[in-house]
Amino acid sequence: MRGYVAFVKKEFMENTRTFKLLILFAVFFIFGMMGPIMAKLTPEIMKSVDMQGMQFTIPEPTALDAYIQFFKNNGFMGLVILILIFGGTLTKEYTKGTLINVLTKGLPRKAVIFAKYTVASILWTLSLLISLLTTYGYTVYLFPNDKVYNLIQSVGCLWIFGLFLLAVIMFCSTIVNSSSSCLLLVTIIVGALLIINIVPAVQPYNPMLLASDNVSIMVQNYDFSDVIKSLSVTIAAIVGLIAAAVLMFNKKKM
Amino acid sequence: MEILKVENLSKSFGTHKVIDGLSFSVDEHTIYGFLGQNGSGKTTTMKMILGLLKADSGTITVCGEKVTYGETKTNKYIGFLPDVPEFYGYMKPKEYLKLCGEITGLSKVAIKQKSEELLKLVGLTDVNRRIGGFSRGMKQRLGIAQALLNEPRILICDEPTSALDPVGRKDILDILLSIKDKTTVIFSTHILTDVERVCENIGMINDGKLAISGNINELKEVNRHDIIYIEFENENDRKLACTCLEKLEGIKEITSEKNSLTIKVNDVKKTGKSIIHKIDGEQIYILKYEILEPTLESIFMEVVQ
Repeated sequence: MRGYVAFVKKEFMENTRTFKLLILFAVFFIFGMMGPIMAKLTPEIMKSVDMQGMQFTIPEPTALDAYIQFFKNNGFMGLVILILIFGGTLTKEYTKGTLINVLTKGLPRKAVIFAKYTVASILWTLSLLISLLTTYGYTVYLFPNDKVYNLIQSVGCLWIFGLFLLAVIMFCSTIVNSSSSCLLLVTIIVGALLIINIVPAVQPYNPMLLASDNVSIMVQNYDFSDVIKSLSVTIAAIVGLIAAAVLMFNKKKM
Repeated sequence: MEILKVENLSKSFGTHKVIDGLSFSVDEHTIYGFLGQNGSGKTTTMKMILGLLKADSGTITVCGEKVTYGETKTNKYIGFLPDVPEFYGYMKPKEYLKLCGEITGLSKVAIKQKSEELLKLVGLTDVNRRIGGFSRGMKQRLGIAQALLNEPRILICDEPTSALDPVGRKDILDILLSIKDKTTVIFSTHILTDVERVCENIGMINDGKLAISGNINELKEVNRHDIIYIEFENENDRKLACTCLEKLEGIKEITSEKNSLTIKVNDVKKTGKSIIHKIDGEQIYILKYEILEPTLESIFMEVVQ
């Protein structure tokens, strides 16, 4: 436990001093801000473009448009940035050899996995929260009369999907030896999830659902049965991936 | 008391057998030199002792406890200095020692006290910048400090001096000598002068096996050959001396170099006297007369060949 706590502290220091924390927070803040502003401004922009006499009718933007933008940014670019920032968190330590000292000091190997996963998860949670609060604040200000449904549930799904991706990164990092091969492996796994999504029977159980159906969740009286199936599979996968990462890491040559 | 015992250790990487039935032991409170050529398996052996690599067969016992791979309980007795110690570049030396201290479970007060003491020992007291900008020598010193933090009974150093300049090397060797009373030091190297300076016992590894081992002085005694080295003023004198010595009794072999002769004899004292007498009789001037002591280098060369 003490090794875990010490390593968690070290991870926080690392992410702060190597500016990863700053980058994450800044990017997610910008994403949060962009959603409502883009939703509000798009019709204005379209109006100012010379359409050479063509007529477009653009519906009046609503708060939902702001959240559509929010999920577009965070659900794709945000996750990509998450993978890029944390893709090398473990592999970089092997390639540089920085783990040798701490492991020979008696740090249990599983503490490394748990600490890294904890800190990455906390930073992801905070980033998403920053983004959500920013979007929420701007949306309330710019679209004061609109009502949205199931916002927390929808963002919660994206949050769990982020945790799932981080678990995939942890697991992949214990199999391969370099950051680039780890990123490749994560991409392959996500790609495979996208491919099997073609089969309709698989869709409700696919973790991808949590990152793709966020907007459709945000309607009144949404039926959550599919989401619950996907959530259960995803949470089980997170636990399984972390357990597998610990097992693999225990066998890793240093 | 044997603090480390390695028995019948074997390890292959693919088809390449690096360690093949290696056995040796190290006594407490000694500095043990672990020698071998580059790629002879020194680092591999050390990593197996630390449980970082899995041995194919054989046992390793540290302070009476068996080493198991992955689960490294025996590491609480060991401080390890890797050949190129790597640190978190964004930390300052004190912060790094604090991390190590917390991992080992030292109290806050103990960490502070120990850190100051060790940074003083390795000469990094006033260095308050990030490790990222450290030179190799400074990293090596910090490496020693972190390795000694939990007051280990064994300090294992993997080629601690190989990459350092003469001043840095001397500093590191002095540190190793100064901690000898508290800690057993095992140190691998191929720099033989370092070994001669600090080690009492050595083990030399070749082809994955222990080629020779024991006390340095005893090893030299055993490997003593009766060899006389004579240096002359010029080549001509050497040639003259060579011809007049050829028929002398008791000489086994003469090797000529530019201005010198290396003569293997049966009995240094007896034959030596007659050699000097003979050369003197020819009116040849001797620049230097030396009875060669076996060096670690000559032993090393013999083993390697």
